[in-house]
Amino acid sequence: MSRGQAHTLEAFAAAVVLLASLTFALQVTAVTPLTASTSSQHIENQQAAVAGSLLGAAAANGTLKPSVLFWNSTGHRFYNATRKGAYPMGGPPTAFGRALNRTFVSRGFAVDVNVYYLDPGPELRRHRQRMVDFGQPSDHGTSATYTLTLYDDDVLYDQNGPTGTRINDSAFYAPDAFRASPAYNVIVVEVVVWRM
Amino acid sequence: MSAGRPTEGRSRPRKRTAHRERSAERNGRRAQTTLDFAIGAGVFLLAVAFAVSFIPGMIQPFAGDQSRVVAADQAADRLVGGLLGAPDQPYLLNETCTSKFFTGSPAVDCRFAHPQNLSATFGPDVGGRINVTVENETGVVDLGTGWLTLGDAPPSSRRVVTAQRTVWFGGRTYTLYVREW
Repeated sequence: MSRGQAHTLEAFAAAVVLLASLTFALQVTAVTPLTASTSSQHIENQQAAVAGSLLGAAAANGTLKPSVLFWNSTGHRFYNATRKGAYPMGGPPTAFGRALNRTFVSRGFAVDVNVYYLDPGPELRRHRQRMVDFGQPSDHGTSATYTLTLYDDDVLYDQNGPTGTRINDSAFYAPDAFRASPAYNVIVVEVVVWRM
Repeated sequence: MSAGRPTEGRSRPRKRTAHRERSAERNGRRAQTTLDFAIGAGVFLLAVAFAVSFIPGMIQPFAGDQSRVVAADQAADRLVGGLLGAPDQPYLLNETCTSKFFTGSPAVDCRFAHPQNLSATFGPDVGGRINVTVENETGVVDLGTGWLTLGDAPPSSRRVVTAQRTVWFGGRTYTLYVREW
């Protein structure tokens, strides 16, 4: 007699071999951080590099500090800022803000700009003042920072340029953390970028 | 006919019924019909084709363009960090030196020795597959002395790695793209 399959167990063994090969094929595909996708590690690195280079260029050009000092001390907010003292959906109306809009907002990125200043207490805690607020960053947001020093004789800026009000005697968001020296406070500007 | 039959002269109808009997017997004892075999073979071939199609995904992380990611990033850092401007003011480009790098004019002294020559700047094995461009929102920038772009156009049939940086010259920001394939 000539039977192809003698026992039912052979069928089960063949089915197990088939399923094992399918499972192996599915498990052996590797997804790494550099796999091409909309949020690979390289894309996030480039976002951080663009944000860092924007901050570095603005600082070297002298346009970052006037934006940090663009404070309306009577209204206790940045000029024309509406959302908790910060600008919603765009940068401040300064050269740095225009560069921010051109580099990120017009290309579909959401930006959060946070300004951290030191607490004059003994523990030197950090507090945050928001400058641009697009909401909560996504999981794939990246950030870049730049550190500035403010001095006692720096003045506030408004739409017409530098005013005569020193930050020393105005209702600035950062207090004088170094009373015994000409330095006023140390500011860290942080730009958080994520794709909308 | 089988050799076990000692008697001869059986009538033909007997042979036919014997044949029909044997094929009927065979059909009664058959576990797998032709249709069963066709379905089983089809399922098996589908599974084999599916497993084979995952082989490129298995090899893909080792495919070898990971070095280009780092190389493009470093090329962008070199350009904005000192070649086109000053090393103590990164990202602030010198407008005349940038123009000279991309278009060859004007003739001033800059930090690079080979204007318009990507092979000499980045090495001969990279020079043929790199493209450096300065763009604004609308496209490639033209400062009046020529398009600020160097290198062949990136091919659409290969993987292209892009590195970008924000640069500042002429009173506004632009984006520098380094594309390598």
